[in-house]
Amino acid sequence: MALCAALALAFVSAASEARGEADSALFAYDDYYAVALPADDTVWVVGGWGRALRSGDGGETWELRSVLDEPRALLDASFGDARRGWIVGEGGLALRTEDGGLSWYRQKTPTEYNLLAVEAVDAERAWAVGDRGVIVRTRDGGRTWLDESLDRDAILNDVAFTDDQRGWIVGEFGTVLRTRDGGSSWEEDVEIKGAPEDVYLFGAVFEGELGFATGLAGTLLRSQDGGRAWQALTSGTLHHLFSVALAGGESLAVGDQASILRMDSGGSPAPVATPNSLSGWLRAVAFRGATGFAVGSKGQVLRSRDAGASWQDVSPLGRIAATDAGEPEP
Amino acid sequence: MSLKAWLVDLTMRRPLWVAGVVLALSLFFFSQMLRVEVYSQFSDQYPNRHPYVATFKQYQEHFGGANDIFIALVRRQGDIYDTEFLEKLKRITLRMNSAPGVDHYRIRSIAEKKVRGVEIDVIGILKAPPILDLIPDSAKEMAELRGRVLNNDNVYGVLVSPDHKAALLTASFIEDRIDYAALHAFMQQLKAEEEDEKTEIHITGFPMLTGWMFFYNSEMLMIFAVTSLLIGGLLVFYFRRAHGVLLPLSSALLSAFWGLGFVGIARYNLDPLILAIPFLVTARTTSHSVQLMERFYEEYQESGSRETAARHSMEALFTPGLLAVLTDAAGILTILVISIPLLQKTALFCSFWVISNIFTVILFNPALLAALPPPRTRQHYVPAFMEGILRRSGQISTGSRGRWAVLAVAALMLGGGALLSRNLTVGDAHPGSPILYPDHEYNRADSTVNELFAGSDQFKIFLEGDEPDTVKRPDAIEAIEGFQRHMIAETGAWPAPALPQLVRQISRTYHNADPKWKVLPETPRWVGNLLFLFVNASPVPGTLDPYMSWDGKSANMTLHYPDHKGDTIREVVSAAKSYIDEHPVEGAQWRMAGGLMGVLAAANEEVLAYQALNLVIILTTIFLFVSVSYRTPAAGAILLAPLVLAADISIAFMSGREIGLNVNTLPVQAVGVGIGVDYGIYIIDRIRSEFRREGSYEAAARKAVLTTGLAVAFTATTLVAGVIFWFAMSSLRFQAEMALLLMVVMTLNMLGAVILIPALVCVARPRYMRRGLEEPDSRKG
Repeated sequence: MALCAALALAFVSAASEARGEADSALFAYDDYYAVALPADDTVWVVGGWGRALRSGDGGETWELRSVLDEPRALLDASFGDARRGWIVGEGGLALRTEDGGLSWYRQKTPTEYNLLAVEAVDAERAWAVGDRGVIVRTRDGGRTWLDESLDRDAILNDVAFTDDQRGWIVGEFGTVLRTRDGGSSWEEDVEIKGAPEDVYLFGAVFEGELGFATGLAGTLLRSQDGGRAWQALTSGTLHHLFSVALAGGESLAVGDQASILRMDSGGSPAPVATPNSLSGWLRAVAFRGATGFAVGSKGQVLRSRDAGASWQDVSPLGRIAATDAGEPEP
Repeated sequence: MSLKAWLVDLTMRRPLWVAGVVLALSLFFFSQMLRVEVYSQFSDQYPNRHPYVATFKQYQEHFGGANDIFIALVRRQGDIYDTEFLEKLKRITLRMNSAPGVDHYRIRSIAEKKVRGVEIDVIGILKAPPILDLIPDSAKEMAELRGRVLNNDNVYGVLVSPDHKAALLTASFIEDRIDYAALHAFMQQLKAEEEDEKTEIHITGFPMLTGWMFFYNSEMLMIFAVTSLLIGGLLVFYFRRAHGVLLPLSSALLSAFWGLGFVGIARYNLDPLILAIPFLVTARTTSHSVQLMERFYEEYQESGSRETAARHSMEALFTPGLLAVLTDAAGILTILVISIPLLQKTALFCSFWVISNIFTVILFNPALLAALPPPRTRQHYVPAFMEGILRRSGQISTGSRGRWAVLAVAALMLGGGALLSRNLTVGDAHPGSPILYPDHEYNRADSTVNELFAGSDQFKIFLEGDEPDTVKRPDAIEAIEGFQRHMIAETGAWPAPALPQLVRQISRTYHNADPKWKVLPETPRWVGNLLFLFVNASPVPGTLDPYMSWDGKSANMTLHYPDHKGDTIREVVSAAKSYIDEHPVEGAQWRMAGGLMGVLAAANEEVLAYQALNLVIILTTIFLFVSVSYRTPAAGAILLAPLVLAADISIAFMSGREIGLNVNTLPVQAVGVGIGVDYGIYIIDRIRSEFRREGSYEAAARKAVLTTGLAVAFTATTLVAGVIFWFAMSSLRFQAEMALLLMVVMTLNMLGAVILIPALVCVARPRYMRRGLEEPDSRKG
């Protein structure tokens, strides 16, 4: 009988299955919220569920970086130089690196609201803004973050500085804050023409006195006086425009339903052809010289090398280099 | 007087009475047989005691069962944004409401009003408009529809293919209201009416598959008829006498009345998927009867008297016959250890069917032989070529070197079989349905749907809280999402949007559609508020149903896969278990498993856990029965050898032909192996009785091979020839595969009895065979 039992067991010994890491499958489900370009060919992409990806070769290959041991959303990233920078995110999260992103550590911020945007003025100084009028700043590489929040409940979506003195913050209810003294004082008087005064603004970018801001339902504003007077441009779309960037003389805006608009200095926007497979939304766009990246839903990363005239899909799905950094376990 | 002597005496003195009683009983069972219904029941196919099945049943009503139909409408040219196509989709969606047994609340397509997006309008009011309300009549509206599709995770890739060339309609059915035959007819008619030169229609899903099997029922009946005719013809060829044809056939028929009458009395349904088992049982009835006929003709040739021949053959075969019948019945009954209703019902009615042979063969045949006119010629006709082959094989297997050669070949087969058996799949071995051929309309539809969409096979896991509103806790929602990501990474799942995706989507929409606000709120209260906004924004009820229970106690997580192969299911279950072990949720439990794959996982686990046990019990039972009857373990051991070989080779065969071991194939394999024992019993009994006359194992074995062995060989070849038609004619791949398996098992049983057992007897020289020889001598002396 022992023989029979042994035989019977042999019949049913099913082949044990061993499945390799299938992490790459996740990229098709990831949301990317921001992209930062700290040096030529170095690209950082951050997004939901604690996802952070780095490319050292301009987007040809990507590696998954472990920056946080919990699945919080990483909402923006900015570098002061090639080595030092910040990632901000859900629940007042601020992460700092001083070694080009090899290691990240958490910094204490005076808020528990979501930090939606961060701008590194230089390697030691930075501004971050977020929900409910939150504004925080640091002058010492983030050892201390100071609370300079507004005294009102308005979502602040973006912060931009062109040098250590001149900066802008945009957000809900048509909010545009301007400083010319490194943030000691903020001016609020704005004049918006061709769009509602309380238009919801998502993003802004400046170069000298020229600035662009994007908002709800295809809103695209241009200012030629450093952000006091704004004129709405005819964007030709009703999709929300989430982010705007400058690439030489051109500017690029990206938004919902995978739309990309490109406009010359004359301010006449036109939609740009995107790769066929594109769907969902694009949340952020950034340029360094003529090379730029746009990131969004479904793990999508697009790259342009001609100041936004044409775009290629360089999504990390299928472009993952051997990772030694590992993945943050949820 | 012993029972045997009394029965033989009664049958010989009052043959018409005995035959009359058996006929009367058969008539009663016939009347009960008439109310048997032939259909499949889904609930018959899963193991009731398995925890997955308890979970499945608990959540079936709220989160859907395993009876879903998937209809893919594929454009031959262009995309789905075409007025005519959308009208067709809307019409079919409406028509599905009149499908028999459909759950009206669970029909989904982009033309169904419950399928909605979440939007915010310019003045900040949250809306959940249907994806397709009125059919667009301008290019602009079409483009907007395309945008709504593209940006809805519930729709894009799920109800509309990523290339926008196909739309999917899914419909759930209520398990106890499905009339599979009517449903199949309804779906085929719908397909015939709506498919045209612009649109292909593909229909898949479990109810459709079952419907197809009903569709082939009449074909099965036809094949059975052909098989019966063929077997009758072979009986004529073999015996060349009226008795030899009529008695085995009438016994087979009467036994069928008993077996099917039992089904009627117990109010079981007869599942077309297990028809191979009744065929096997009928094969045994024929086998018993042929043994009796063969012995009768042999005795008649010797004595020339009808009464003497009938009495002698009944006396000679009463003990091995009864033993064989009881052993067969016990072997079938062991399937009861597997708690799958289909198998348990099969075990009960088939063992009763086998038991009926005591009446319809062991008593009925000798009674008829004693009552009917004797054969016209005394000479027993024996087909010369068969006799020649058997004489030669008898010489080889009893030869001094031949016997070892036979054992060596058997050992080699055993080893080779065990080696091959390791590739056996538990569960289905291929995508689609193994019941049908790969190029069958159903399987082609299945692969089309799985290529174009997220995957029609579903595995569901539920998070069940101890208290209401548990699943509104952010940590619970995050745990569900972690689970989804784990399953994507480990098993390539395509997760259906669940509570995390819904809450994130509402949060985003509520915050001016900014993707950065796809964050989970920090408190259950805020989750509740967001869900409230969503429910309020949709005018139809039930929008939250796919995600959570109304009291917030449990949440649903559905994972899609392109197939439900045994290997896929095992991989999914093991990945899920490892996540559950590592990620407990406070105040809540993860419950597996729903969906077709959850139920199949339970069935596969049950089959895996008990098939080995089942085999061990079958073999033990047989060993005990035989050893006790002959009062020696040697008889039991010799008889087990061919059974182990048959079990081994049949599993190797299934493994080689990539037939998975599942609810449908397991009983064929198990019963086929166990039931083969009666050939061996007849042979070994004959060897023992011949030993008295011949005085040597070798001569006794050769004689047994030429007489009983001839009947065995004839029965087996007849039955194998009978199922060839099955194999050749059946549109169901499953039936064809089972026919092949039956052929293999029956051939092995025959070879085991006719070749292996004589060789084993000559090698082992069991002493108990001498006992019969010595006892009468000592009494005389």
